[in-house]
Amino acid sequence: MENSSIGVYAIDRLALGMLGAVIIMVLCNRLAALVYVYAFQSLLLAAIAFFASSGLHAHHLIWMVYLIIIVKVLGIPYMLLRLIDTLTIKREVEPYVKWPISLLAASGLVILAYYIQRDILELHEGVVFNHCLSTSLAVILIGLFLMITRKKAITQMVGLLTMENGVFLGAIVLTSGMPMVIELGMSFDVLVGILIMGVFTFRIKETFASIDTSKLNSLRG
Amino acid sequence: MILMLKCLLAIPLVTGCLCLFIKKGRVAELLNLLGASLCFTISILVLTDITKGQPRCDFDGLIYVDALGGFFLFLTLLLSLAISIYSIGYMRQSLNKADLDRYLGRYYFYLNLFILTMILAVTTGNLGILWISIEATTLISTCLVGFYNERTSLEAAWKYLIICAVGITFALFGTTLFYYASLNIPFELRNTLNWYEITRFADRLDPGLTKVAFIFILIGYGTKAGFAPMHTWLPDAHSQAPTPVSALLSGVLLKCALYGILRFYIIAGKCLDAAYLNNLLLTFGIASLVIATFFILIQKDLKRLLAYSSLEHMGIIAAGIGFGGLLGVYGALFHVLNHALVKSLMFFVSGNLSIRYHTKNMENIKGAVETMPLTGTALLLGSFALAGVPPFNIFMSEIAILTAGFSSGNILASCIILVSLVIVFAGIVKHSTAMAFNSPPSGVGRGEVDGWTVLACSILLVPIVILGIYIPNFLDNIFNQSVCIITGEETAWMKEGFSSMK
Repeated sequence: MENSSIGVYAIDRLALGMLGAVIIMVLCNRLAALVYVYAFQSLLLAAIAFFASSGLHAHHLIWMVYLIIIVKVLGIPYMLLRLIDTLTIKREVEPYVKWPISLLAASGLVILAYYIQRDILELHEGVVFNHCLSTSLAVILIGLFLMITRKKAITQMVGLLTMENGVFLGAIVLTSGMPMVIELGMSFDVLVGILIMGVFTFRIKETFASIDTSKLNSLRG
Repeated sequence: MILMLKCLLAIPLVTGCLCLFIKKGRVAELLNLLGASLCFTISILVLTDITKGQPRCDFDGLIYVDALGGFFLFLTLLLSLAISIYSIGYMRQSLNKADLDRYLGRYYFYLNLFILTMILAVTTGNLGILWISIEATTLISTCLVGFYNERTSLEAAWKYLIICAVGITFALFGTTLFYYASLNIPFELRNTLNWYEITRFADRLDPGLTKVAFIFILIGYGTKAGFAPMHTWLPDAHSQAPTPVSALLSGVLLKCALYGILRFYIIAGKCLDAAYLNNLLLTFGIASLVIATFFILIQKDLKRLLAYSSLEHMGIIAAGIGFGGLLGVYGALFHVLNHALVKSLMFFVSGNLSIRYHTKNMENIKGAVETMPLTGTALLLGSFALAGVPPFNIFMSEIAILTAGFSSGNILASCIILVSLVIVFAGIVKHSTAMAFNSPPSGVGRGEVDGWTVLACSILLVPIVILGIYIPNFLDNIFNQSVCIITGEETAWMKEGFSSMK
């Protein structure tokens, strides 16, 4: 029992760490830094899966840990860094909105997420729910915010991946992980999705001579 | 029967890979046509088996087909057959003669994988696999939307990919919440995401959690189904994809996403107040309808006009389910079929016109009846059907939905639908008569572009006319059984459980 309560405590703190990481992402100025923070956040996710597998008695989650480390901590960040290396000249993030406003919006989203957990879902019971569900919601919402307010194709990809991390956090903590077949399928889908986005980023760069998505504006009405 | 379902998954995969490796375009075309007709035949066999009253299920519900799934399966394969016929003519004309073989192989490869993912979505009983396959439809069809690799098609593909990926992430969160809710029930459920098992015990789910979960599902899959205000990818993707693919996107893909929503709607309907769910669907439906109406009036691009019309019809279908009751849900399902048939016909016609006139701008397309008599006639008939003129099938389902609306007391919503339908009617008829009559611009050749494209149009015209007059017995049977599943009436197999289906 001792072991399990330490696990739960660790999960709770690590989840807050993921929230911290996503707020740092909002403030990131350079593309490479954004990718590193994403990799760090994925590492925290892997750690959460690890503690959940021992603490919450969900042993199949140990495979999840390997999967997250291989795909999200190493594979995808490596690919994104390669993309940044080959495709961009100016390696800054280029947001549509200024930093202070971004930060303000991010804090607003965190409050919204906590509000949804406390007042709409009314889930109080259990230590696990102290922060985890609202953190996962907050990470999803801030990830979406990153996608909407940044111009480059790569930042949109990172935003999407961040949203997915939020969903995985929710899945691991709330349900001790989905059934194995489905976890595998989801990871595969995420990987293929990112590969296809990478290919399209290349094609956009070739055709538009930049990966600034604000130039994709000819289709209207 | 399970063997047939496995074949259904294997055939598109095999045909697709063969098409990619065979470097002859003509062979790929025939292979694809053969595969599509084989799949269609199997789907009819599956459907007749299921409508005898029992769903089929295997691998603990990984494969699960009931009347509702069978109907969407039939729809998918019927359309994929029509599109296979049309693709032969259209792709020959629209691609460069020089590298026809290479591009055709790739095109049929993507097309088959796309159809495979949609078959998977409607034949699985596992909510996780449902999510995986709907996500996979996005990934594959992105390659088809960006197939021509031009500036506009790249833009459309990128928007499509990003917006739908965000939507699908919300749907994943919703699925997780549903799974979590199902774990809280102390029961004999074996901790799977099995739709059938969850539905049996759905009345014990936590209502608060289910409410939030359903909203995430509705926003997530609703993005894919083209509900406003998440519809912004739809006109771009539909207008930039190769025309047969536009027909597939509009006729089948939107419906597969709707199918996903329906599965969760059935679960949520057992533990929540029906009015809450119906109002949500009604709100999204009416919003889509009103926004589409506005854009249809001011549209200049033919394929974008058709895309917005899809948005309008998805709105009507959502409203039909939102009105509820036998008539509303029956009408909505009937409308799913009708819209798929008519919209595919219209996309086929638009493809023929754009090849002949080298433009999609409706102001430059004139005198279609004179230059291409058969396509021109199909254009007129199709657009009257699309606008909901009486002898055609869409009129029947729209009347059913409107009747359900007025009789269920949603007077305001029904009036909005009625007014929008009148405006859309005026808009579409104005555009199509301008394209069909007047004198054609100089320098436009005469005659049909290809025999195959005319064949595909005329095949689709037959059910469009027939369904407007009477509904065949077997369709009526499927619709009635599907309505029972959606409205949650317990049938014999529901009570008996899994053992009866093996």
